[in-house]
Amino acid sequence: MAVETFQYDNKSVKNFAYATVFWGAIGMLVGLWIAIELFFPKLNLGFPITTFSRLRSLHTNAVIFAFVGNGIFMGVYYSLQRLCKARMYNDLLSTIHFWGWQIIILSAALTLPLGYTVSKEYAELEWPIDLAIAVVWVVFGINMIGTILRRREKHMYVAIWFYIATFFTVTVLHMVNSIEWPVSFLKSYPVYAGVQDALVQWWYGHNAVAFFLTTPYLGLMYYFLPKAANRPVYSYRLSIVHFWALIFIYIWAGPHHLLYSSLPDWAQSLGTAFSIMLIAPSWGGMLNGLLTLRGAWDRVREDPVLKFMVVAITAYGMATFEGPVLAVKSVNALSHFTDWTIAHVHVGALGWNGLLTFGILYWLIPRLFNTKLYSVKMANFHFWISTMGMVFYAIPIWWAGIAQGLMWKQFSAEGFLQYPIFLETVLQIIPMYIIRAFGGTLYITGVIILIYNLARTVRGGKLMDNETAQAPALADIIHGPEEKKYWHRWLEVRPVQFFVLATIAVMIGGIVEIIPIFMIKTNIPTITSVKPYTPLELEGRDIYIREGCYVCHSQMVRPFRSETERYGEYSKAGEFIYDHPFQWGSKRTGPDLHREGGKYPDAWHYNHMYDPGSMSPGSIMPNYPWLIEKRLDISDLPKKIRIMQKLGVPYPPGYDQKAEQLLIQQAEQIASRLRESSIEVSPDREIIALISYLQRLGMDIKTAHQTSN
Amino acid sequence: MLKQLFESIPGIQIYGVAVLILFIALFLLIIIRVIRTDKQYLKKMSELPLDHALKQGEEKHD
Repeated sequence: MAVETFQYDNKSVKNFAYATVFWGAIGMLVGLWIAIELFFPKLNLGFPITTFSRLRSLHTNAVIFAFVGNGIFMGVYYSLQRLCKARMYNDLLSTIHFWGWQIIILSAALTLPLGYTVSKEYAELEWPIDLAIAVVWVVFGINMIGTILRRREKHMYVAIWFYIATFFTVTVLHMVNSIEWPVSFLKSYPVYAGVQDALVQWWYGHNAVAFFLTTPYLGLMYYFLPKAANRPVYSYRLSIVHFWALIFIYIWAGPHHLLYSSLPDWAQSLGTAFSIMLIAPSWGGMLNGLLTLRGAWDRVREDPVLKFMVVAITAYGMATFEGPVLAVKSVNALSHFTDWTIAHVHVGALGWNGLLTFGILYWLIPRLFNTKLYSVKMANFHFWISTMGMVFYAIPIWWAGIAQGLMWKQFSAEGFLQYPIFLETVLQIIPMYIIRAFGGTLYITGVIILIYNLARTVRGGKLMDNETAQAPALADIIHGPEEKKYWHRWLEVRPVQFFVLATIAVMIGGIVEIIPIFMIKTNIPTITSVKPYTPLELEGRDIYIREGCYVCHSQMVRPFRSETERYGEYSKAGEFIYDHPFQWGSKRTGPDLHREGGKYPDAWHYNHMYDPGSMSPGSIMPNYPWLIEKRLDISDLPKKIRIMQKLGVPYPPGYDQKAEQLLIQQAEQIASRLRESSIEVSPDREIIALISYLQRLGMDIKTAHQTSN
Repeated sequence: MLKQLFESIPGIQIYGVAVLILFIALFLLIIIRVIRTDKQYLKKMSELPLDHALKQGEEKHD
């Protein structure tokens, strides 16, 4: 039988590895920075671009798409070539993929701090970047599938199944959630509004966690853990069940992000049931990983690579247990909008993604450079400091989340809110924020040690750009001796059919979840008093989005007495029908704003935006003085109105021409009210637009009630 | 809040039950088939990432 000689592309793997470390360090540093801003807001140095609300999306995007993203590509490019016994399909595609992805990250790092954002969490990037992501992602897909089709190994190992499912599902998620109508080069409105936008967004958000942070990393686990331990995976049977059960169930669990937004009981139960069922495949995968090390635990004691992997898999087990717990309605009632969610995602990101990446890097880099790791001792130290960092991160933030959630709900014996002033509950947990930042510092120190250790390793070796390997051609294998047929084997030699079946498994959940979302639009009960935003309010809303207010303030009063007492009437679906995009938020670092309108005079908002501490002593909200200095840019206003009309907002015909005049009138009214409070400000400043928007929030229903009374 | 919206979608009540049944049926099917899969084959598959498996595979086909 003819044996072919070919070369593995190690250069792309090395490039992605470097990018993983580089962006990982940046993403985590930004995370630490904003963690400190939470108790020391002045650390924004007075600049808009370094303010918490703008940097937070940079942190999440950098960690998810830059650190973990490059980590995925590093691991896939290395393992796929070896599992397929073939070089990556096309070198040019590899190069385009690598540089394309880095340019996307760079453009994200530039645009997000500048305030160019769609404001949908983990999908904040504006439309040109969204398009670029789609193109580069498809380049990756072609390169991957091409490699699989050209393989010299008949069977597709379980890791490859996870890669295939990842590719397909992320493509669909990204495309469905990113449908936007461009206003200008870096501004767009999502075509969905309000409830529909929220459902699409959290269908995306939940499954981005599933298919970007989980399935590809499970693929990496199934390849790199056996490699590092030098023993096969514990149960291949279990891995088959793990794969199919996980991809089938995962996509169903999305509704758990919308508990208590009065989803019908069956839908909530379904979301919760599937979330709980998810424990089974998740823990199946975790046990499969941990049991791979049976009889080799003595090596775990010595090998830092295995240590990282063991704790990573354990963190995966913890996070996938905690997730379903948080999806239980009664727990969610307490945890939602608190820091508990933040602790949960960080167990996943720091533990599962972070530590698995570090383990792989320590294993991979010496092999790429044909040398030994510079210092095993240092790697061991990194292991301990990052594990301690996780502990010091997660425990205080769990504590903070639960404590604050309880304080929000606490009533006094007389039946009043025990902590009616929101800020009181924030000040209570500041010490926890400080400990969290300490945990983050430990974790980043570990990353710096990793960088030094790997740099010395690289210097001590020489990159094998092209590693020579040999294998018989696939045609020879397929026509080789007949083997007894087994059902899954049939699939494993047929990537195309496999792709189709995996797609169906994912799509059943995807379609059934998404179809009701699209049907909803026509079914939203209209509230007659809900009117479109005035031109000034629309511009003010865009400032609210630009500054990232949704990062800390929700606009969703849930139907609990503790919330209606604090904020006012609970939120109704019909109130959001003109909200492109929705601004429900996911976290309350500050109070909910959905009933903010009319609560305070304009002057209060003016002073509060200029210096929140002057109105709420001790507030951790940063100052926004630039809103007072900057002139409101209304050059796109007529276009914005026309696009809103196209998206179904019932502005009367010709409104785009009148908009500017109406805007100026309303701005002058606000400026004159401010003048009455001895505040001199020109009506053409951004603050005026923002005040008009804040004063509008929740007013449609309030006004209707006053009129009917 | 979303309750009325979802309830207005015709026949939506069956979605939940149908999906649960579908999933459990599929899950059982996979379990049965996996249990009946040949051990030698599973061993070979699980050793795919390891270097010595590669050598064995080559010997077999030569």
